[in-house]
Amino acid sequence: MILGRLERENAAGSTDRCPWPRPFPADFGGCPAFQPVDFVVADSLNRTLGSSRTCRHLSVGAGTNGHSSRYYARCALGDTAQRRRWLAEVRPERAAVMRALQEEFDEFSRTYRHELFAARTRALADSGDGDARARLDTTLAGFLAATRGFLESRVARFADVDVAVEDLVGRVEGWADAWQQEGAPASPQLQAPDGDPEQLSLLGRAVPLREALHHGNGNGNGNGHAHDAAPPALEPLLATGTLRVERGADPPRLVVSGEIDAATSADLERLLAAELAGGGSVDLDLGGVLFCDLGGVRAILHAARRAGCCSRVVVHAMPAHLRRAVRLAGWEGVPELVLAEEAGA
Amino acid sequence: MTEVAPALDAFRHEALLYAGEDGFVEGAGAFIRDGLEAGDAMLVVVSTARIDRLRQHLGSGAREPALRFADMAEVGANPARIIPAWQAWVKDAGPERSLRGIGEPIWSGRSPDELVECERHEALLNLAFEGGRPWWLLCPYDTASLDPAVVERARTTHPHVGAEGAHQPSEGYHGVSTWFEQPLPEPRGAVVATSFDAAGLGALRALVSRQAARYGLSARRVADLVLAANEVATNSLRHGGGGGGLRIWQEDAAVVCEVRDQGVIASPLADRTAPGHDPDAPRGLWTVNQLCDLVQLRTSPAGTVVRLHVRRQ
Repeated sequence: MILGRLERENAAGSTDRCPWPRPFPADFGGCPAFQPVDFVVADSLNRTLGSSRTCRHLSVGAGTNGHSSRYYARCALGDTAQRRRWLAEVRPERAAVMRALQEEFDEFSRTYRHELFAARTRALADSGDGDARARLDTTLAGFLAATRGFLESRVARFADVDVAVEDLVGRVEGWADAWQQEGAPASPQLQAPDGDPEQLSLLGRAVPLREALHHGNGNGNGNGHAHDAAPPALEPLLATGTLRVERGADPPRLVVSGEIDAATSADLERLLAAELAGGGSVDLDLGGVLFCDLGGVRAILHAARRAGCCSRVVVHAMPAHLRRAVRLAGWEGVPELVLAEEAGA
Repeated sequence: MTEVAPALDAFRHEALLYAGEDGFVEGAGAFIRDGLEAGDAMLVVVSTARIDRLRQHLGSGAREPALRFADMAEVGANPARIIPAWQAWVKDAGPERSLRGIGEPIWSGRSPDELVECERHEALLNLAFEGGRPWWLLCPYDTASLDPAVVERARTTHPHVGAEGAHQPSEGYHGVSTWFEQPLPEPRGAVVATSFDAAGLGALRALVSRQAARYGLSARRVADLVLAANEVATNSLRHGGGGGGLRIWQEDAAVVCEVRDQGVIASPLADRTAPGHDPDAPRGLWTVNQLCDLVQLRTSPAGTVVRLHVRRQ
């Protein structure tokens, strides 16, 4: 049963709990949806203690009813299946480029962010002459100019993941305005704006240490987005570690998600051969496929050939790169594989 | 200067040594004009600049339907794609005409790695067309702009050499050569390395993806390299002893990913044989040559190394 977001948060044993141990190591590759964001760690007196690494999707969830601790580290994407769905929408290769750009920005901005944090702590503590305030303004202006340079020298790479650098420059400047006017002294939080989860969270966060230790990585960016309407209930036909195949009823098709490679393609071939027993065709939805190698395509073709003359596999939502791979591999026009073009699919 | 075309009873692979652009136009132009007179079908695969000069030189002859031009930068940026292009052209040509081709894969702008692969391509041409339909392929080499060692090596990969109107068997040619033993240079700079077995393909793809993006590849090229590395690693699982080692690093123009295993590749043309639709036709190495800008393949009883190059755009 698929639960709505609110119900998820209140359920015991919340399925949107982040399952990975934190803090995340530098080359963390356990979760394919991981999107590292650097943040400044501070103690309860707002003295900086260094940087740590959180995930863009990590936030704080509130558990009730039998939970020993009220708060837990919550993945804004949801559970494992929803993380995979996000990755299938964004595409793994784009997520990799987004991750690399964020890592570069974190590296570039780390010193600035620490200076800003320290300058603002001094300015807030200062009562009287505007010296500390002026120094904060200068530090901020320097950071903004350097950030503009960072972004403008990477226009093509940001465009490659559909982020317009002018928009980012505008957002950074808007953040700086809000940040300058922030009055609360106790726990400064540099909130990245909510909104389109595909935009980068460019900015690090400052989190009091006590909270960071207690909850793993403290407050995330709150970039949770209401996912599209939950898909209809599906009957699972195959669920290995990395590949799932489920039967959808309306429209009738096999929904494949995860990775098709040497570890999983034999299972897929067996399943498809069984579906095609007696001939005819089968509809496959590959929109959730994160990776498919040539052996995977071969498994699909084998199943169709074993089923005999005129058996076909009709593919819906074939990922663009897989379509490219099929063409480059020399399988363009192979009769057993039909690509269905669906408007708005 | 016209020559009498030698009667063709076998594939004739000939190097044309010329000096400078005018020398090219004279030598290639004469070859084409002779072909037009004989009623041959012709395909000229050279740079667009050379194509323009030939068109000027040939005048109305350049518009003969039997004569076609193609841009070598498109056909053969990756030299492993050149043999399949010629094979497709020869296969599709009707039987009534003799065939002539000109192909210039080596120009002075090629990187050292590309140059070695071009030379391997030239050697493999002899194997690819031996025993098949006779045709005449002329490979121009510019003695004015190329390293003399490159020109000398052309004598070892071409059974015939033509220069200033004279066609001669090449004294340097010693029969069909299959494998280039040229070892691969060690990478300079930082290298990320891992090893893999049957359970490790997911982690291998994650590593290649992460590093390729960090080195600045676009999303599409990241996906190209991940798929190519996965294909080569999967070959290692099946034919290379069940696993292998992977290294990835960046160079000036490209990201390079290397896979090593204990296996031996038996067929020298394995990476440039067009597979067709049959699902069981081998196509992993073919596909990596379509995905990547250069693939360096070295195999011996000691094992196999494949290096995949994908350019930053």
